[in-house]
Amino acid sequence: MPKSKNVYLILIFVYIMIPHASEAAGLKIERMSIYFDNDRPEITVKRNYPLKAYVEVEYTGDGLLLGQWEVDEEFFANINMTISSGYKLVIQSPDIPHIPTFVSGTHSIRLVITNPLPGISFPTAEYFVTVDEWKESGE
Amino acid sequence: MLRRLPKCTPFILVIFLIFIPNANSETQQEAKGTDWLKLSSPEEGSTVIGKKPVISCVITIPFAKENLLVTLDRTDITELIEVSKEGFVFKPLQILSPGKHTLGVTVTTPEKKEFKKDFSFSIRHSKQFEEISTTNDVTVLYEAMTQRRVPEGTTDETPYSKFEGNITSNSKIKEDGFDASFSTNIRYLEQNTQVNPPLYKGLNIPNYLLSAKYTGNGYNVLGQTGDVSINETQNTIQGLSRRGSLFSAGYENFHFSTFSVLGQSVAGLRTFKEDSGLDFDPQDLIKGATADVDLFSKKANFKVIYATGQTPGTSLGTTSASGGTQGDVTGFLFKTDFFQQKLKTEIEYDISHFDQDTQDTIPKESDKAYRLLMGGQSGTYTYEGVYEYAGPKYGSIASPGALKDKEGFTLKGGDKLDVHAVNLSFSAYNDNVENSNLIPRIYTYQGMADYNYSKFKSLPLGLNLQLTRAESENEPQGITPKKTDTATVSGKINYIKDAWNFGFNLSFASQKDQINSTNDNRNMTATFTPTYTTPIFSVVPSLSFNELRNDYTDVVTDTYTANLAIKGNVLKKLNYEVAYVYNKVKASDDTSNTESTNINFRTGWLLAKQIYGLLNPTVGIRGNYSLTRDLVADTLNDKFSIFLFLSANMPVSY
Repeated sequence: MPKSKNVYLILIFVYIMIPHASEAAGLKIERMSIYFDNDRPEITVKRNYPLKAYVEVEYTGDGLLLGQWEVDEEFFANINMTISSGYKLVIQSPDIPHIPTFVSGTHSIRLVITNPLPGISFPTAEYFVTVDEWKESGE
Repeated sequence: MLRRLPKCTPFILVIFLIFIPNANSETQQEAKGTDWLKLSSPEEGSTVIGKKPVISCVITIPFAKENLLVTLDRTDITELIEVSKEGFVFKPLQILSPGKHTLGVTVTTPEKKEFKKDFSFSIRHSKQFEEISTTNDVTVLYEAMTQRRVPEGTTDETPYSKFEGNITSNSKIKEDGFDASFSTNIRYLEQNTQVNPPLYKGLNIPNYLLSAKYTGNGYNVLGQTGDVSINETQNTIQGLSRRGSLFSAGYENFHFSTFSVLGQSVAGLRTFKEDSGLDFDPQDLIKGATADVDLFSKKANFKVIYATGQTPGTSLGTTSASGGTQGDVTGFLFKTDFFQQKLKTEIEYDISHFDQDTQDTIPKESDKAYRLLMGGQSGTYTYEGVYEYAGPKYGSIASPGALKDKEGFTLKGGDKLDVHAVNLSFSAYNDNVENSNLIPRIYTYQGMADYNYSKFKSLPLGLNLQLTRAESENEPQGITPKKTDTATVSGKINYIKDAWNFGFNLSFASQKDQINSTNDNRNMTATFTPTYTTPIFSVVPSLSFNELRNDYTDVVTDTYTANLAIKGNVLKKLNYEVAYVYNKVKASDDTSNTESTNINFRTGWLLAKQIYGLLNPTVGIRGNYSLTRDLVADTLNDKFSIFLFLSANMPVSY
């Protein structure tokens, strides 16, 4: 293969790779998954159970991660995090306020990221609250 | 010696004369103590055949109901007993687990004398089975919207009429080495508006797990089908919770397991073929096996892990920027623990053939990963060192979070010295492990120190410091170098007294790129949570302030958040809950200035308790109000809805 053709191929490859390499400098969301304590995006709990949700975020780069937890598509809590270089982090729903579990029935929860704007939709988890009350003794 | 004995005799007699009356009186008190209470049913030390045996006690000393404390296996059951002049009777509502139980009775007499006694007895559910039981919790809920207001020109998907039912069921059988269980939720939903997956109208089974185990002399067998969970190592299989089947067996030092699960995550069992994971559709399947052997009296273990399959990438609870994934992974893991946890080691080597995006034209590529771990604990001191490597094309079909294109090490150490607990860690990693000259290599160094002080139980405090540097090397032409420092400091302190807990958290983070300053920022959050919690009433407020400063543009964004959660119960009949959230975001350059308020409330009245011994119906009202205001665009949207509901729960166990 002539040397000039190699140069063109390399230039094309570098052109393809540059945007990806540049993006690495900023924060970029690659994958998100949401789950509860049972490692699944679905759970059944008693009323007023202190439910926790977790979102695993795979990312490249570093920067500010801003967003909000939403329960039944309504604002629930803020997320303001300064992310350093890495590849994965787990964001836990806050201790205060707890995820509301006082209304029986089916509810949804998700973490909406507003910065950086991810090119993916936000995964949703569903939880069902039964009528009987949770007691701390574990009954 | 013998000549001295007579001289000692008077002293010995005196000592006897002094102590004998006391010894007699103690014996009498003890005798009184054992006579005052008698377990009439079941007999003390006996084995009862039954699930809810009636427990009755006779008390012969004067007592008042309010001075009686009864515990069963250390759980206070005083409120559940029926007290009479002769004693008390306890009729369990729930099935008691098989095995030994301890009943504790404490009586305080009018003279403030306290008498305590423990009884033990055992339970066997039936003659044939040590345990055979089913516990079912039935929930039914009907709610109807009475009022609604939504902003003009918008539609609201909230149903005005909804019926939901759920049965949480757990069944168990156990005898000798055999142990089987079945747990599930069966749900019914009907409402006037459409629902989107994973919700379905009509009958649905969101989850289930059937499990059977047999443990014999030196061997064991386990089979599971339903929502199984498999965890091996981060580089091979981790967090794999899917619908499917699992089988494992062990004989002395040899163990084997195999599994087959759906590639996608599902909730529901619309059709057995689609959602059971037993269809074995190769387009949507992860399967694998592990085999391991214990060596040197179980002080070492060698394991081989294999998984292969295909996933859609995005499924319930997961979204991915890439398409589906396909491939296989084989891992070899050797673990040792020769020094009673003081020095544990792990060596892992993994090979993968992985296609990280089945939608593109790039086929599966092979790569490797390995990991060396050394750690342990001695008393309160713990330590760990890990070195790990993962090639750029490495990936696991059964562990989406597997390390990729990274090489480096982490060192961790921690100790608890009396009231001081310290944890330290340091890590150094780089990407671009094959040193491609098309992308830079980024080195990341991170140090962390965590300190907790617990001298005063009512005043715990903690501090955390984390410093990170990320810097690039070998940048290709046209790529801006990177040298970013991130520092995070956070502290927390609580003051706890009785039902009060005053918490204060403060965190500060700074990010500075010493080459390109356009993303430099500072991030400060302060949160105050003064809470009051008792079994019948709690109020949990939270005030939070966040200031986000972009050092390049000098724009400051302030976020104010206030939360209030109130929960209470009146006369064990009326329960009420309110949750209030206010959030305001304001940027100093006036590009954003928004407010949002959300209020949820619910109050329910327990109409009756245990109708027919089972049914607990509640009637009530609940509502939601939400408001969003954009002060820059000068728009305001608010909506509210109020519902009446009738709900009931019914625990059925036998």
